[in-house]
Amino acid sequence: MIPFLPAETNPAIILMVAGVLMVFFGPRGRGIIGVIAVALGFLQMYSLGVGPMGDAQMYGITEVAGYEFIPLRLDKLSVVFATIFHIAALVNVIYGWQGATKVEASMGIVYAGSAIGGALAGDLLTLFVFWEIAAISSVFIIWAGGGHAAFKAGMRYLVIQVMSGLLLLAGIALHLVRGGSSEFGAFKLVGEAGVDPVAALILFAFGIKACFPILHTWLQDSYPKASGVGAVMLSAFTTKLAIYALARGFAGTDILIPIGATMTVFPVFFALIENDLRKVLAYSLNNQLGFMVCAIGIGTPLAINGAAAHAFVHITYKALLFMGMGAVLLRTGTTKATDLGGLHKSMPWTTAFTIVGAMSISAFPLFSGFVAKSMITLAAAEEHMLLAWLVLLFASAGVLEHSGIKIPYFAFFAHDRFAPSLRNGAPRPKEAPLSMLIAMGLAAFLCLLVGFYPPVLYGLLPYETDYHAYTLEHVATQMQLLMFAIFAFMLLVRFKLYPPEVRSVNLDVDWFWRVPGRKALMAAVQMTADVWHAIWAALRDITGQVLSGIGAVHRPGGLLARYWTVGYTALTTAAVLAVALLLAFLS
Amino acid sequence: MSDEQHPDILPEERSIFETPGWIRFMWFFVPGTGLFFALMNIVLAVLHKTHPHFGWLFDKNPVFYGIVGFVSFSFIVLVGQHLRKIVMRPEDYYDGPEATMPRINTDDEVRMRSISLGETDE
Repeated sequence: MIPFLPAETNPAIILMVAGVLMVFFGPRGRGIIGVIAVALGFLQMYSLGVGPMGDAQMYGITEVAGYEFIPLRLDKLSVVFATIFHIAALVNVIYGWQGATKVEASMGIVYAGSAIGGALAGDLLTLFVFWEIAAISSVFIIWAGGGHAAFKAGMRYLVIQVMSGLLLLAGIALHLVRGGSSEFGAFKLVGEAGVDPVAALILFAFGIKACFPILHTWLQDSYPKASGVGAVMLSAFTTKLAIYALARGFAGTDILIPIGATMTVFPVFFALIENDLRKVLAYSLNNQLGFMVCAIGIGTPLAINGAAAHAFVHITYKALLFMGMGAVLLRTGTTKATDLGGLHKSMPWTTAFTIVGAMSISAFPLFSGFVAKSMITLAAAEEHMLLAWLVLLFASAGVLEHSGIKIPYFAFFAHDRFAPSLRNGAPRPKEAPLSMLIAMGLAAFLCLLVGFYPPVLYGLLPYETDYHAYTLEHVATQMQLLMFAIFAFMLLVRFKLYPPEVRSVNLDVDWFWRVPGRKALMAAVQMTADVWHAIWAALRDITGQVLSGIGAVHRPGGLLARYWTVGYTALTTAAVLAVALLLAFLS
Repeated sequence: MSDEQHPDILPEERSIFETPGWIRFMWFFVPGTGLFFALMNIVLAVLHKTHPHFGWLFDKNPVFYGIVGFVSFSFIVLVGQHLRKIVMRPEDYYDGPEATMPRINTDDEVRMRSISLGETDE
């Protein structure tokens, strides 16, 4: 327990308060506050103690109107995610020490806090609150990317994220109304009575943030439009909070296996043809989430360990890759493959760190990806899920293609586009600033530490494990796969079969709502306006006619306003009498 | 890396990774390492030190992983590029001219600081 803090202080609150405080300080002050807040949050979390699965340490339990709030629940599953969120927050603070704007630095820490709060939340409403804070704080980071494109992407991002929050809230409300527990535990998607619509609603809300196929486009749309620093912040939290929520709520749900498998495959093809290397990384992120979702669907202790381990290592190497590209963006103003190449000559450290990230994500032995991903493929094999296992192997070759080779190759090698002789003697781009190199070095160190000594990671995992990544068989099979895939790359480049990079934008399913959807919406708006105008015009015409009719009758000399002779009056009276007599006679 | 050299740059601007020697080394190293591990897998299989879960068509076959790596990678590249015919559009398709502008962040505070550090925009 940290002596000067109240006993049950939530680490998330520490970070959020720090994020707000940062607004009042300059860059150096912001950096110092960020580091202190992350350290305090981390110490606070571990001082509270971690329970094993099924026997969590809970703090701050309060009951309001029959609803039990559990703001802090610490067990192995929540703490492994909260731990890596703290590490990611620290890396972000260091990476943005010089380059982060006030909004990015401040909101970055609030965003990290919300992810930590979400992971540690023990009840559904607390989860919802942090779920929404994550959405709202992160959109500022996208907007801080600057420009109209970033603003529009941020708006689309916000709509989708808030939709996920509202679906979650609706699911929670329905769950509580039917007498469900307020504690965030496992949901049963398919019961004896068929699919449970409430669980399906909550799964859908999680699925939006976890980038399920078709629901995924917010990620590739928005992350590459953030600044170099902002994209690193974004890469860590939202999606992995969703992975945590899936692991907690839907472990062993069969439908997640085909969903996860699809997620590992389709981004591979989009990443191949994409020109913007940060968008390649966004597709790659989607593909990595697929491995985790698939593992959660398998649901065995080995698979859940694999999902948690993969989330942990993924955050470090994905942040590392985004940091490498952020440094390139800072020094060259672009991350488009068509405009890059040969940067290893003037940015050797950035190159080396990015290659560490690339080898980690490709799961080379001695790098962190290897010790996590092999758990997931093994879990699929142990359950004799042949198709899922084959898809995961195929996707592993895909990861090597887009993140292992394409990113470092096109940014740092390939065709040298910065040679002074090609640019009228202009000097080559400089190496990344020191703060960025330190952050990249830290992430690279973590990748290698976990790769060389996996027990540091295995000790954090939800279930006890005696898994050994480094058997001769695992190393031999994985190296075979990777080296023959690289050989395929060399042959394809040699025979000019590898597609050249092209300046372009590639459509994804969001085209449906960005182009025809927008047109349909605009048409609906236009139609509503037209209908309203028509109704208004008709009303005006009718009113005008009625008024002129009344005017015609009542104006001086009008039908009812003019003088009549006595003869007409007598005639009218006689007619009325005749009608009365006739009626009396008939009745 | 194993790509052809860019023809326009001067010889002294080439790094060690762009020399013919390095490229020859890669052509030797990559398939060599692949074959080494394939051989290692065959030896492990002969000694019954492997733990396959599926049949001879799959992981019982000691060179299965090498084939999967080679075939998957080639498939992704050769088939995947045709996706461009369907989804590729000009760069400014969605965002207009802004999509093609360089994206150097010019936040005032950061700009002030980089000037004071002597790191003006190049």
